[in-house]
Amino acid sequence: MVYSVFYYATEAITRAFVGLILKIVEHMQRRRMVEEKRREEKRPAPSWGFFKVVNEAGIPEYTWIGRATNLMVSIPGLIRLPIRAHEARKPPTRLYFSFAEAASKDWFKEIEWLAEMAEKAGKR
Amino acid sequence: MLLEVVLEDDINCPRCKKLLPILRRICDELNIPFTIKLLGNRAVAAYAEDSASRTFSPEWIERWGLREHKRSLKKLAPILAYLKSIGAQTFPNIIIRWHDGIRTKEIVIRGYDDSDEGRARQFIANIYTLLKTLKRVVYRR
Repeated sequence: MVYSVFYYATEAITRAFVGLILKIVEHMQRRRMVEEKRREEKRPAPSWGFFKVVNEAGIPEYTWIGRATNLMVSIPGLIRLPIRAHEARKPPTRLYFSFAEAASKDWFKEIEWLAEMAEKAGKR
Repeated sequence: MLLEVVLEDDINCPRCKKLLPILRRICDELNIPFTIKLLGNRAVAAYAEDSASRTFSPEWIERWGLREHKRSLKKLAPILAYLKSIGAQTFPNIIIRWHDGIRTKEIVIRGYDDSDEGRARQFIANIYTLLKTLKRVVYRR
């Protein structure tokens, strides 16, 4: 059996074509590469710095523990002490409005009315 | 300070962004101290136009509120109580604070809406008039 040049050429082209298709299929079917995630290392608990502690009286306070030095300083939490002499004679008057009220033309009338109400309630 | 304007603001608030330059310009023109207070992540936008939502405290509504406030309080009470418990604040708020010689007085305006141009203009005009009047009252000029 004698094969012609044309036959060999056709076979080579067909082989190349089929090989290409097979490679594409293989490429599509292969598993994707997955990179391993780096494990996050947990930070060690701080051994120095400010720590919030509740003391024996049940009041929260901050304690400073030194890094290089053997120093421990506790700072009591700040408490607002009510002093009668420092209190304002009358409490502040606060009037609340929404945007719709403030955008109306009768806003100033409403302010006056609310201020009057507040004055009356303050006198009681 | 006798008279001041505070804007309670949030970074991610588009309405605050629009309101800020207007207020700053008014305060610059009238020479009134103006400060911006940026709120934390517990802030709640005050876009609702319900009259009861202008204040978060049910006690306030019980004491000062109108009939309609009290009517809507029944519905809103649990929400208000929750917002109060987490210490939420609304934004944008304009706080106008002045001292009239006896006590400090404050006007708090909650929310801003620029979708209606006429309304927004009226709002700004109102604020300008109020600040101008207050300046005259406070500084006796």
